Amino acid sequence: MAKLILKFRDATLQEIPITKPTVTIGRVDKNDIKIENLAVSRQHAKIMQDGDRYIMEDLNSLNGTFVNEKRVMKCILRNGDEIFVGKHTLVFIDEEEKPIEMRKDIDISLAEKTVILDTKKQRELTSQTEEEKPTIKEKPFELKGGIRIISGGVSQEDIELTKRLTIGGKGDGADITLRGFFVGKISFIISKRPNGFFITHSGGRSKTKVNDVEVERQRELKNGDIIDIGSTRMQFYSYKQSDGES
Amino acid sequence: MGFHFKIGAMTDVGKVRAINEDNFTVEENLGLFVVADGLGGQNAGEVASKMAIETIKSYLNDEKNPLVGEYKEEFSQNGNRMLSGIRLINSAIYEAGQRNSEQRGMGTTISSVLINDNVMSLAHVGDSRIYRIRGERLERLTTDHSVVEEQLKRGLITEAEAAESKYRNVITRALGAEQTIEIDVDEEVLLDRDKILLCTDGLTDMVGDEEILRMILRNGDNPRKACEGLVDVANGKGGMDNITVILLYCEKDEQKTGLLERIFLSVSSGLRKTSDAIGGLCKWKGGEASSNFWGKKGKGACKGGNGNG
Repeated sequence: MAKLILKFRDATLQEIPITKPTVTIGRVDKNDIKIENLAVSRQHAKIMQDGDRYIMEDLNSLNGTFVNEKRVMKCILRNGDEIFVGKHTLVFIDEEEKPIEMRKDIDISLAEKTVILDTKKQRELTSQTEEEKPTIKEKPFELKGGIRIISGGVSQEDIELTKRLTIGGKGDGADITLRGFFVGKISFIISKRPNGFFITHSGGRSKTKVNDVEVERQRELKNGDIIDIGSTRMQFYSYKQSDGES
Repeated sequence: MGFHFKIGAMTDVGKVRAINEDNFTVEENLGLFVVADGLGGQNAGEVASKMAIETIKSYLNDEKNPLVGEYKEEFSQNGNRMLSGIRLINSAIYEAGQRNSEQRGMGTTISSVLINDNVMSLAHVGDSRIYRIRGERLERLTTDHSVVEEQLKRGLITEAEAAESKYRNVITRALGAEQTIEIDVDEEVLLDRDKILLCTDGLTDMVGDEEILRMILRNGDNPRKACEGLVDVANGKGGMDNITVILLYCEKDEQKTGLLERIFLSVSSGLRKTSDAIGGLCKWKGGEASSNFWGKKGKGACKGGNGNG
Protein backbone atom coordinates (compact mmCIF):
# COMPACT_ATOMS: atom_id res chain seq x y z
CA MET A 1 0.00 0.00 0.00
CA ALA A 2 1.18 3.49 -0.79
CA LYS A 3 1.77 5.99 1.97
CA LEU A 4 2.75 9.55 2.61
CA ILE A 5 5.32 10.72 5.13
CA LEU A 6 4.64 14.18 6.43
CA LYS A 7 7.79 16.11 7.23
CA PHE A 8 8.67 19.54 8.44
CA ARG A 9 12.26 20.36 7.57
CA ASP A 10 14.03 17.10 8.43
CA ALA A 11 11.66 15.95 11.14
CA THR A 12 9.12 13.25 10.35
CA LEU A 13 5.77 14.24 11.81
CA GLN A 14 3.46 11.51 10.66
CA GLU A 15 3.12 8.47 8.43
CA ILE A 16 -0.15 8.36 6.56
CA PRO A 17 -1.21 5.24 4.63
CA ILE A 18 -3.35 6.00 1.59
CA THR A 19 -6.51 4.01 2.23
CA LYS A 20 -9.10 6.04 0.34
CA PRO A 21 -9.48 6.53 -3.42
CA THR A 22 -9.07 10.27 -2.88
CA VAL A 23 -7.04 11.90 -0.14
CA THR A 24 -7.34 15.65 0.33
CA ILE A 25 -4.70 17.96 1.75
CA GLY A 26 -5.42 21.37 3.27
CA ARG A 27 -5.43 23.67 6.26
CA VAL A 28 -8.95 23.03 7.54
CA ASP A 29 -10.45 20.13 9.46
CA LYS A 30 -12.45 18.47 6.73
CA ASN A 31 -9.27 17.43 4.88
CA ASP A 32 -7.86 13.93 5.22
CA ILE A 33 -4.44 15.39 5.79
CA LYS A 34 -4.57 18.61 7.74
CA ILE A 35 -1.53 20.85 7.76
CA GLU A 36 -1.88 23.83 10.04
CA ASN A 37 0.19 26.49 8.40
CA LEU A 38 -0.90 29.74 6.83
CA ALA A 39 1.06 28.97 3.67
CA VAL A 40 -1.31 26.07 3.08
CA SER A 41 -4.66 26.80 1.43
CA ARG A 42 -7.89 25.60 2.98
CA GLN A 43 -8.16 23.02 0.21
CA HIS A 44 -4.70 22.76 -1.18
CA ALA A 45 -4.31 19.54 -3.13
CA LYS A 46 -5.60 16.03 -3.51
CA ILE A 47 -4.18 12.64 -4.35
CA MET A 48 -6.30 10.24 -6.33
CA GLN A 49 -5.80 6.57 -6.96
CA ASP A 50 -6.08 5.62 -10.62
CA GLY A 51 -5.59 1.90 -11.21
CA ASP A 52 -2.25 1.12 -9.77
CA ARG A 53 -0.93 4.65 -9.83
CA TYR A 54 -1.54 7.83 -7.90
CA ILE A 55 -2.25 11.25 -9.28
CA MET A 56 -1.60 14.47 -7.41
CA GLU A 57 -3.67 17.50 -8.29
CA ASP A 58 -3.31 21.03 -7.02
CA LEU A 59 -6.67 22.56 -6.07
CA ASN A 60 -5.83 26.08 -7.21
CA SER A 61 -3.90 26.69 -4.05
CA LEU A 62 -2.52 30.15 -3.47
CA ASN A 63 1.09 29.15 -2.99
CA GLY A 64 1.08 26.17 -5.28
CA THR A 65 2.10 22.54 -4.95
CA PHE A 66 5.59 21.49 -5.91
CA VAL A 67 6.71 18.01 -6.77
CA ASN A 68 10.45 17.57 -6.60
CA GLU A 69 10.85 21.34 -6.60
CA LYS A 70 8.80 21.83 -9.71
CA ARG A 71 5.45 23.53 -9.56
CA VAL A 72 2.71 21.29 -10.90
CA MET A 73 -1.02 21.40 -11.37
CA LYS A 74 -1.43 17.70 -11.88
CA CYS A 75 0.99 14.84 -12.10
CA ILE A 76 1.47 11.15 -11.60
CA LEU A 77 3.35 10.39 -8.41
CA ARG A 78 6.36 8.12 -8.41
CA ASN A 79 7.91 6.30 -5.50
CA GLY A 80 10.08 8.73 -3.56
CA ASP A 81 8.54 11.91 -4.94
CA GLU A 82 8.61 14.85 -2.57
CA ILE A 83 5.50 17.00 -2.54
CA PHE A 84 5.97 20.46 -1.08
CA VAL A 85 2.89 22.06 0.40
CA GLY A 86 3.53 25.37 2.10
CA LYS A 87 6.49 24.68 4.35
CA HIS A 88 5.80 20.98 4.76
CA THR A 89 6.93 18.05 2.71
CA LEU A 90 4.98 14.91 1.91
CA VAL A 91 7.14 12.06 0.72
CA PHE A 92 5.23 9.65 -1.47
CA ILE A 93 6.16 6.00 -0.94
CA ASP A 94 4.83 3.24 -3.16
CA GLU A 95 6.97 0.17 -2.91
CA GLU A 96 4.73 -1.87 -5.17
CA GLU A 97 5.05 0.58 -7.98
CA LYS A 98 5.13 -1.24 -11.29
CA PRO A 99 7.83 -0.43 -13.75
CA ILE A 100 6.51 1.86 -16.37
CA GLU A 101 5.93 0.25 -19.71
CA MET A 102 4.37 1.76 -22.75
CA ARG A 103 3.72 5.28 -21.65
CA LYS A 104 1.65 6.44 -24.54
CA ASP A 105 -1.65 5.58 -22.93
CA ILE A 106 -1.50 6.91 -19.40
CA ASP A 107 -4.94 8.16 -18.52
CA ILE A 108 -4.68 11.51 -16.91
CA SER A 109 -8.26 12.51 -17.72
CA LEU A 110 -7.28 15.53 -19.72
CA ALA A 111 -9.40 18.56 -20.14
CA GLU A 112 -10.58 19.24 -23.67
CA LYS A 113 -8.74 22.52 -23.62
CA THR A 114 -5.09 22.89 -24.34
CA VAL A 115 -3.00 22.25 -21.26
CA ILE A 116 0.66 22.59 -20.44
CA LEU A 117 2.45 19.55 -19.16
CA ASP A 118 5.20 19.55 -16.58
CA THR A 119 8.57 18.08 -17.44
CA LYS A 120 8.19 14.92 -15.42
CA LYS A 121 4.96 13.83 -17.03
CA GLN A 122 6.41 14.79 -20.37
CA ARG A 123 9.21 12.37 -19.76
CA GLU A 124 6.74 9.66 -18.85
CA LEU A 125 4.66 10.15 -21.94
CA THR A 126 7.60 10.19 -24.24
CA SER A 127 9.78 7.41 -22.92
CA GLN A 128 9.02 3.75 -23.43
CA THR A 129 10.32 2.23 -20.24
CA GLU A 130 11.78 3.59 -17.10
CA GLU A 131 14.97 1.63 -17.65
CA GLU A 132 15.27 2.74 -21.20
CA LYS A 133 18.93 2.67 -22.03
CA PRO A 134 20.34 5.49 -24.02
CA THR A 135 20.55 4.22 -27.55
CA ILE A 136 23.99 4.23 -28.99
CA LYS A 137 23.83 6.80 -31.69
CA GLU A 138 26.25 7.14 -34.50
CA LYS A 139 28.68 9.81 -33.67
CA PRO A 140 27.04 12.97 -34.94
CA PHE A 141 28.84 15.11 -37.42
CA GLU A 142 28.46 18.79 -37.81
CA LEU A 143 28.79 20.18 -41.27
CA LYS A 144 31.15 23.15 -41.28
CA GLY A 145 31.74 25.57 -44.08
CA GLY A 146 33.61 28.70 -44.97
CA ILE A 147 34.49 31.19 -47.65
CA ARG A 148 38.02 31.86 -48.83
CA ILE A 149 38.62 35.11 -50.68
CA ILE A 150 40.62 34.43 -53.81
CA SER A 151 40.78 37.89 -55.33
CA GLY A 152 39.24 41.33 -55.21
CA GLY A 153 37.93 41.12 -51.67
CA VAL A 154 37.94 43.90 -49.12
CA SER A 155 39.33 41.57 -46.49
CA GLN A 156 41.61 38.67 -47.28
CA GLU A 157 40.62 36.59 -44.30
CA ASP A 158 38.61 33.38 -44.50
CA ILE A 159 35.06 33.64 -43.22
CA GLU A 160 33.66 30.73 -41.24
CA LEU A 161 29.99 30.20 -41.98
CA THR A 162 28.79 29.84 -38.40
CA LYS A 163 25.60 31.89 -38.66
CA ARG A 164 22.27 30.61 -39.88
CA LEU A 165 22.42 33.23 -42.61
CA THR A 166 25.65 34.84 -43.74
CA ILE A 167 25.24 38.01 -45.76
CA GLY A 168 27.58 39.17 -48.51
CA GLY A 169 27.26 42.70 -49.85
CA LYS A 170 28.22 46.33 -49.70
CA GLY A 171 26.02 47.22 -46.72
CA ASP A 172 27.11 47.77 -43.13
CA GLY A 173 25.38 44.61 -41.96
CA ALA A 174 27.25 42.35 -44.36
CA ASP A 175 29.38 39.55 -42.94
CA ILE A 176 31.39 39.36 -46.13
CA THR A 177 32.10 42.88 -47.38
CA LEU A 178 32.10 43.27 -51.14
CA ARG A 179 32.95 46.16 -53.34
CA GLY A 180 31.85 47.20 -56.77
CA PHE A 181 29.62 49.58 -58.63
CA PHE A 182 26.75 47.17 -59.21
CA VAL A 183 27.05 45.11 -56.06
CA GLY A 184 23.96 45.25 -53.86
CA LYS A 185 23.81 46.24 -50.21
CA ILE A 186 22.81 42.66 -49.60
CA SER A 187 24.16 40.86 -52.60
CA PHE A 188 23.86 37.23 -51.61
CA ILE A 189 22.92 35.18 -48.59
CA ILE A 190 24.34 31.80 -47.67
CA SER A 191 22.04 29.78 -45.51
CA LYS A 192 23.34 27.03 -43.25
CA ARG A 193 21.06 24.01 -42.95
CA PRO A 194 21.65 20.68 -41.24
CA ASN A 195 21.92 19.11 -44.69
CA GLY A 196 24.19 21.65 -46.32
CA PHE A 197 24.81 25.22 -47.40
CA PHE A 198 22.61 27.10 -49.86
CA ILE A 199 23.24 30.36 -51.66
CA THR A 200 20.61 32.87 -52.77
CA HIS A 201 21.19 35.91 -54.95
CA SER A 202 19.58 38.76 -53.14
CA GLY A 203 19.96 42.07 -54.94
CA GLY A 204 22.05 44.45 -56.95
CA ARG A 205 22.88 44.53 -60.62
CA SER A 206 25.91 42.35 -60.18
CA LYS A 207 24.63 38.79 -60.31
CA THR A 208 25.98 36.11 -58.04
CA LYS A 209 27.61 33.35 -60.05
CA VAL A 210 28.59 29.90 -58.89
CA ASN A 211 31.07 28.14 -61.18
CA ASP A 212 30.24 30.76 -63.84
CA VAL A 213 26.49 30.09 -63.68
CA GLU A 214 24.11 32.79 -62.42
CA VAL A 215 22.27 31.77 -59.27
CA GLU A 216 18.54 31.50 -59.93
CA ARG A 217 16.60 31.63 -56.68
CA GLN A 218 18.63 29.23 -54.57
CA ARG A 219 21.31 26.61 -55.10
CA GLU A 220 23.30 24.25 -52.95
CA LEU A 221 27.01 24.90 -52.51
CA LYS A 222 29.50 22.08 -52.93
CA ASN A 223 32.99 21.95 -51.54
CA GLY A 224 35.29 23.81 -53.92
CA ASP A 225 32.60 25.86 -55.67
CA ILE A 226 33.80 29.20 -57.03
CA ILE A 227 31.58 32.21 -56.27
CA ASP A 228 31.95 35.36 -58.35
CA ILE A 229 30.31 38.64 -57.61
CA GLY A 230 31.46 41.85 -59.21
CA SER A 231 35.21 41.82 -58.98
CA THR A 232 35.32 39.51 -55.98
CA ARG A 233 36.13 35.86 -56.45
CA MET A 234 35.63 33.46 -53.57
CA GLN A 235 35.77 29.74 -52.95
CA PHE A 236 33.39 27.79 -50.76
CA TYR A 237 34.76 24.95 -48.69
CA SER A 238 33.05 22.50 -46.36
CA TYR A 239 34.04 19.63 -44.15
CA LYS A 240 32.52 17.38 -41.53
CA GLN A 241 33.53 17.76 -37.95
CA SER A 242 32.51 15.22 -35.34
CA ASP A 243 31.02 16.53 -32.11
CA GLY A 244 33.47 17.11 -29.34
CA GLU A 245 36.32 18.12 -31.56
CA SER A 246 37.00 21.75 -31.78
CA MET B 1 16.31 44.41 -52.48
CA GLY B 2 13.19 44.56 -50.38
CA PHE B 3 9.87 42.79 -50.41
CA HIS B 4 6.30 43.91 -50.27
CA PHE B 5 3.39 41.77 -49.15
CA LYS B 6 -0.16 40.92 -49.89
CA ILE B 7 -1.65 40.10 -46.52
CA GLY B 8 -4.66 38.18 -45.31
CA ALA B 9 -5.41 37.74 -41.61
CA MET B 10 -8.40 36.41 -39.75
CA THR B 11 -9.43 35.07 -36.37
CA ASP B 12 -12.59 33.18 -35.55
CA VAL B 13 -14.01 31.83 -32.30
CA GLY B 14 -14.89 28.50 -33.93
CA LYS B 15 -18.03 26.45 -33.30
CA VAL B 16 -17.54 25.23 -29.74
CA ARG B 17 -15.74 27.74 -27.58
CA ALA B 18 -17.55 30.64 -25.97
CA ILE B 19 -14.66 33.06 -26.21
CA ASN B 20 -11.76 33.62 -28.55
CA GLU B 21 -8.47 33.26 -26.70
CA ASP B 22 -6.38 33.70 -29.85
CA ASN B 23 -4.80 37.02 -30.74
CA PHE B 24 -2.73 38.21 -33.67
CA THR B 25 -1.05 41.25 -35.10
CA VAL B 26 0.01 42.42 -38.54
CA GLU B 27 2.57 45.23 -38.40
CA GLU B 28 3.56 45.73 -41.99
CA ASN B 29 5.84 48.71 -41.33
CA LEU B 30 7.82 46.69 -38.78
CA GLY B 31 7.72 43.51 -40.86
CA LEU B 32 6.21 41.82 -37.81
CA PHE B 33 3.52 39.14 -37.97
CA VAL B 34 2.42 37.22 -34.88
CA VAL B 35 -0.25 34.73 -33.78
CA ALA B 36 -0.77 33.64 -30.16
CA ASP B 37 -3.11 31.08 -28.61
CA GLY B 38 -3.80 31.71 -24.94
CA LEU B 39 -4.50 29.08 -22.32
CA GLY B 40 -5.68 29.20 -18.73
CA GLY B 41 -8.90 29.25 -16.76
CA GLN B 42 -11.61 31.91 -16.82
CA ASN B 43 -10.50 34.55 -19.29
CA ALA B 44 -6.83 34.23 -18.41
CA GLY B 45 -5.94 32.70 -21.78
CA GLU B 46 -7.29 35.71 -23.58
CA VAL B 47 -5.33 37.97 -21.26
CA ALA B 48 -2.10 36.04 -21.85
CA SER B 49 -2.30 36.02 -25.65
CA LYS B 50 -3.19 39.71 -25.68
CA MET B 51 -0.24 40.51 -23.41
CA ALA B 52 2.02 38.59 -25.78
CA ILE B 53 0.92 40.58 -28.80
CA GLU B 54 1.04 43.97 -27.07
CA THR B 55 4.42 43.31 -25.49
CA ILE B 56 6.22 42.23 -28.64
CA LYS B 57 4.66 45.01 -30.68
CA SER B 58 5.74 47.77 -28.34
CA TYR B 59 9.15 46.21 -27.77
CA LEU B 60 10.01 45.94 -31.46
CA ASN B 61 8.51 49.32 -32.26
CA ASP B 62 11.55 51.07 -30.81
CA GLU B 63 14.91 49.95 -32.10
CA LYS B 64 16.62 51.51 -29.12
CA ASN B 65 15.04 49.08 -26.66
CA PRO B 66 17.83 47.10 -25.01
CA LEU B 67 18.23 43.40 -25.71
CA VAL B 68 17.01 41.03 -23.02
CA GLY B 69 19.07 37.94 -22.21
CA GLU B 70 21.89 36.26 -24.04
CA TYR B 71 22.80 37.40 -27.59
CA LYS B 72 22.85 34.44 -29.96
CA GLU B 73 25.69 34.96 -32.42
CA GLU B 74 24.31 32.57 -35.01
CA PHE B 75 21.32 34.83 -35.66
CA SER B 76 20.98 38.34 -37.04
CA GLN B 77 20.42 41.42 -34.94
CA ASN B 78 16.75 41.27 -35.87
CA GLY B 79 16.50 37.63 -34.86
CA ASN B 80 17.97 38.54 -31.50
CA ARG B 81 15.59 41.46 -31.08
CA MET B 82 12.62 39.20 -31.63
CA LEU B 83 14.05 36.66 -29.20
CA SER B 84 14.39 39.45 -26.62
CA GLY B 85 10.80 40.50 -27.17
CA ILE B 86 9.56 36.98 -26.55
CA ARG B 87 11.66 36.58 -23.40
CA LEU B 88 10.04 39.79 -22.21
CA ILE B 89 6.56 38.38 -22.88
CA ASN B 90 7.41 35.32 -20.84
CA SER B 91 8.42 37.35 -17.79
CA ALA B 92 5.44 39.66 -18.15
CA ILE B 93 2.91 36.82 -18.21
CA TYR B 94 4.67 34.82 -15.53
CA GLU B 95 4.78 37.77 -13.17
CA ALA B 96 1.17 38.72 -13.84
CA GLY B 97 0.21 35.13 -13.04
CA GLN B 98 2.12 35.30 -9.79
CA ARG B 99 0.46 38.55 -8.76
CA ASN B 100 -3.09 37.66 -9.62
CA SER B 101 -4.50 34.36 -8.39
CA GLU B 102 -7.20 34.24 -11.08
CA GLN B 103 -4.53 34.38 -13.73
CA ARG B 104 -2.17 31.94 -12.09
CA GLY B 105 -0.90 29.36 -14.53
CA MET B 106 -2.04 31.26 -17.62
CA GLY B 107 0.12 31.03 -20.68
CA THR B 108 0.20 31.40 -24.42
CA THR B 109 1.75 29.91 -27.50
CA ILE B 110 3.42 32.21 -29.99
CA SER B 111 4.48 32.05 -33.61
CA SER B 112 6.24 35.14 -34.76
CA VAL B 113 7.91 36.32 -37.95
CA LEU B 114 10.07 39.42 -38.35
CA ILE B 115 11.11 40.32 -41.87
CA ASN B 116 13.97 42.64 -42.72
CA ASP B 117 14.82 42.95 -46.39
CA ASN B 118 14.80 39.35 -47.55
CA VAL B 119 15.79 37.82 -44.23
CA MET B 120 12.95 36.28 -42.28
CA SER B 121 13.55 35.59 -38.61
CA LEU B 122 11.05 33.26 -37.02
CA ALA B 123 10.43 32.21 -33.45
CA HIS B 124 7.91 30.04 -31.74
CA VAL B 125 6.82 28.37 -28.53
CA GLY B 126 3.97 25.84 -28.24
CA ASP B 127 1.83 24.36 -30.99
CA SER B 128 1.01 27.32 -33.22
CA ARG B 129 2.77 26.87 -36.53
CA ILE B 130 4.56 28.61 -39.37
CA TYR B 131 4.46 27.17 -42.87
CA ARG B 132 6.10 28.22 -46.11
CA ILE B 133 4.53 27.59 -49.48
CA ARG B 134 7.15 27.72 -52.20
CA GLY B 135 5.91 26.82 -55.64
CA GLU B 136 3.41 24.04 -55.02
CA ARG B 137 5.10 22.70 -51.93
CA LEU B 138 4.01 23.28 -48.36
CA GLU B 139 6.74 23.07 -45.78
CA ARG B 140 6.40 23.39 -42.03
CA LEU B 141 9.09 25.62 -40.58
CA THR B 142 8.32 24.96 -36.91
CA THR B 143 8.24 21.90 -34.67
CA ASP B 144 5.33 21.76 -32.21
CA HIS B 145 6.23 21.67 -28.57
CA SER B 146 3.65 19.02 -27.87
CA VAL B 147 3.50 15.53 -26.46
CA VAL B 148 2.28 14.11 -29.76
CA GLU B 149 5.16 15.65 -31.71
CA GLU B 150 7.59 14.29 -29.14
CA GLN B 151 6.04 10.81 -29.36
CA LEU B 152 6.22 10.95 -33.16
CA LYS B 153 9.85 11.96 -33.04
CA ARG B 154 10.67 8.98 -30.88
CA GLY B 155 8.68 6.61 -33.03
CA LEU B 156 6.21 5.75 -30.25
CA ILE B 157 3.20 6.46 -32.43
CA THR B 158 2.40 6.74 -36.13
CA GLU B 159 1.12 9.81 -38.00
CA ALA B 160 -2.33 8.21 -38.07
CA GLU B 161 -2.27 7.60 -34.33
CA ALA B 162 -1.11 11.15 -33.81
CA ALA B 163 -4.16 12.54 -35.58
CA GLU B 164 -6.42 10.55 -33.25
CA SER B 165 -4.39 11.02 -30.08
CA LYS B 166 -6.10 12.31 -26.98
CA TYR B 167 -2.93 14.23 -26.18
CA ARG B 168 -3.25 16.44 -29.24
CA ASN B 169 -3.95 19.44 -27.09
CA VAL B 170 -1.20 18.85 -24.56
CA ILE B 171 1.73 21.15 -25.10
CA THR B 172 5.10 20.96 -23.44
CA ARG B 173 6.09 24.60 -23.59
CA ALA B 174 4.13 27.82 -23.21
CA LEU B 175 5.03 31.44 -22.58
CA GLY B 176 4.38 32.44 -18.99
CA ALA B 177 4.23 28.94 -17.56
CA GLU B 178 7.65 29.12 -15.98
CA GLN B 179 10.16 31.75 -15.08
CA THR B 180 12.45 30.94 -17.99
CA ILE B 181 11.57 29.67 -21.43
CA GLU B 182 13.31 27.93 -24.28
CA ILE B 183 12.41 29.62 -27.56
CA ASP B 184 12.94 28.07 -30.99
CA VAL B 185 14.47 30.57 -33.41
CA ASP B 186 15.39 30.18 -37.04
CA GLU B 187 16.20 32.32 -40.03
CA GLU B 188 15.28 31.83 -43.65
CA VAL B 189 15.86 33.65 -46.91
CA LEU B 190 12.70 34.89 -48.56
CA LEU B 191 12.37 34.29 -52.27
CA ASP B 192 10.04 36.01 -54.68
CA ARG B 193 6.52 34.53 -54.53
CA ASP B 194 7.06 32.72 -51.24
CA LYS B 195 3.89 32.44 -49.19
CA ILE B 196 4.09 32.35 -45.41
CA LEU B 197 1.29 31.00 -43.21
CA LEU B 198 1.08 31.56 -39.46
CA CYS B 199 -1.73 29.75 -37.68
CA THR B 200 -3.01 28.40 -34.38
CA ASP B 201 -3.92 24.76 -33.73
CA GLY B 202 -7.60 25.56 -34.28
CA LEU B 203 -6.71 25.28 -37.97
CA THR B 204 -4.18 22.45 -37.97
CA ASP B 205 -6.10 20.15 -35.60
CA MET B 206 -9.04 20.31 -38.00
CA VAL B 207 -7.44 20.61 -41.41
CA GLY B 208 -4.58 18.52 -42.78
CA ASP B 209 -1.52 19.94 -44.52
CA GLU B 210 -2.65 18.81 -47.98
CA GLU B 211 -5.99 20.48 -47.64
CA ILE B 212 -4.37 23.68 -46.37
CA LEU B 213 -2.14 23.74 -49.44
CA ARG B 214 -5.04 23.07 -51.78
CA MET B 215 -7.09 25.88 -50.29
CA ILE B 216 -4.21 28.35 -50.65
CA LEU B 217 -3.40 27.38 -54.22
CA ARG B 218 -7.04 27.45 -55.21
CA ASN B 219 -7.30 31.12 -54.19
CA GLY B 220 -4.39 32.10 -56.38
CA ASP B 221 -3.21 35.57 -55.61
CA ASN B 222 -5.77 36.43 -52.96
CA PRO B 223 -4.58 35.81 -49.40
CA ARG B 224 -7.76 37.22 -47.85
CA LYS B 225 -9.96 34.77 -49.67
CA ALA B 226 -7.59 31.94 -48.79
CA CYS B 227 -7.80 32.91 -45.09
CA GLU B 228 -11.58 32.89 -45.21
CA GLY B 229 -11.48 29.55 -46.99
CA LEU B 230 -9.21 28.03 -44.34
CA VAL B 231 -11.39 29.24 -41.48
CA ASP B 232 -14.50 27.92 -43.24
CA VAL B 233 -12.96 24.48 -43.70
CA ALA B 234 -11.92 24.31 -40.03
CA ASN B 235 -15.42 25.33 -38.94
CA GLY B 236 -16.97 22.90 -41.39
CA LYS B 237 -15.09 20.10 -39.67
CA GLY B 238 -16.36 21.05 -36.25
CA GLY B 239 -14.45 24.20 -35.34
CA MET B 240 -13.42 22.71 -32.01
CA ASP B 241 -11.08 25.56 -31.14
CA ASN B 242 -10.43 29.20 -31.97
CA ILE B 243 -8.93 29.57 -35.43
CA THR B 244 -6.39 32.23 -36.41
CA VAL B 245 -4.53 32.52 -39.71
CA ILE B 246 -2.18 35.06 -41.24
CA LEU B 247 -1.10 34.67 -44.85
CA LEU B 248 1.74 36.69 -46.37
CA TYR B 249 2.33 36.60 -50.09
CA CYS B 250 5.83 37.92 -50.64
CA GLU B 251 6.69 39.84 -53.76
CA LYS B 252 10.10 41.12 -54.54
CA ASP B 253 10.28 44.83 -55.24
CA GLU B 254 10.96 45.43 -58.88
CA GLN B 255 14.31 46.79 -59.90
CA LYS B 256 13.52 49.84 -61.90
CA THR B 257 15.88 50.59 -64.69
CA GLY B 258 16.40 54.29 -65.08
CA LEU B 259 17.90 56.13 -68.01
CA LEU B 260 21.21 56.59 -66.30
CA GLU B 261 21.34 52.97 -65.36
CA ARG B 262 20.42 51.87 -68.85
CA ILE B 263 23.39 53.78 -70.16
CA PHE B 264 25.53 52.11 -67.56
CA LEU B 265 24.18 48.71 -68.44
CA SER B 266 24.76 49.17 -72.14
CA VAL B 267 28.42 49.66 -71.49
CA SER B 268 28.43 47.46 -68.42
CA SER B 269 31.02 44.98 -69.58
CA GLY B 270 33.44 47.73 -70.40
CA LEU B 271 32.61 49.61 -67.26
CA ARG B 272 32.98 46.54 -65.13
CA LYS B 273 36.49 46.12 -66.38
CA THR B 274 37.17 49.75 -65.56
CA SER B 275 35.62 49.37 -62.14
CA ASP B 276 37.76 46.30 -61.54
CA ALA B 277 40.76 48.34 -62.44
CA ILE B 278 39.72 51.15 -60.11
CA GLY B 279 38.91 48.56 -57.46
CA GLY B 280 42.45 47.34 -57.87
CA LEU B 281 43.73 50.87 -57.51
CA CYS B 282 41.72 51.41 -54.37
CA LYS B 283 43.25 48.32 -52.92
CA TRP B 284 46.61 49.73 -53.74
CA LYS B 285 45.84 52.84 -51.79
CA GLY B 286 44.02 50.86 -49.14
CA GLY B 287 42.26 52.58 -46.28
CA GLU B 288 38.66 53.47 -45.49
CA ALA B 289 38.41 56.69 -47.43
CA SER B 290 38.55 55.11 -50.86
CA SER B 291 36.00 52.44 -50.05
CA ASN B 292 33.60 55.01 -48.61
CA PHE B 293 33.93 57.11 -51.67
CA TRP B 294 33.19 54.16 -53.86
CA GLY B 295 30.17 53.09 -51.81
CA LYS B 296 28.63 56.55 -51.80
CA LYS B 297 29.09 57.12 -55.44
CA GLY B 298 27.53 53.77 -56.30
CA LYS B 299 24.46 54.46 -54.19
CA GLY B 300 23.99 57.96 -55.55
CA ALA B 301 24.10 56.78 -59.12
CA CYS B 302 21.49 54.08 -58.47
CA LYS B 303 19.12 56.51 -56.78
CA GLY B 304 19.35 58.92 -59.67
CA GLY B 305 18.57 56.11 -62.02
CA ASN B 306 15.47 55.10 -60.10
CA GLY B 307 14.18 58.65 -60.03
CA ASN B 308 14.28 58.93 -63.75
CA GLY B 309 12.60 55.59 -64.37
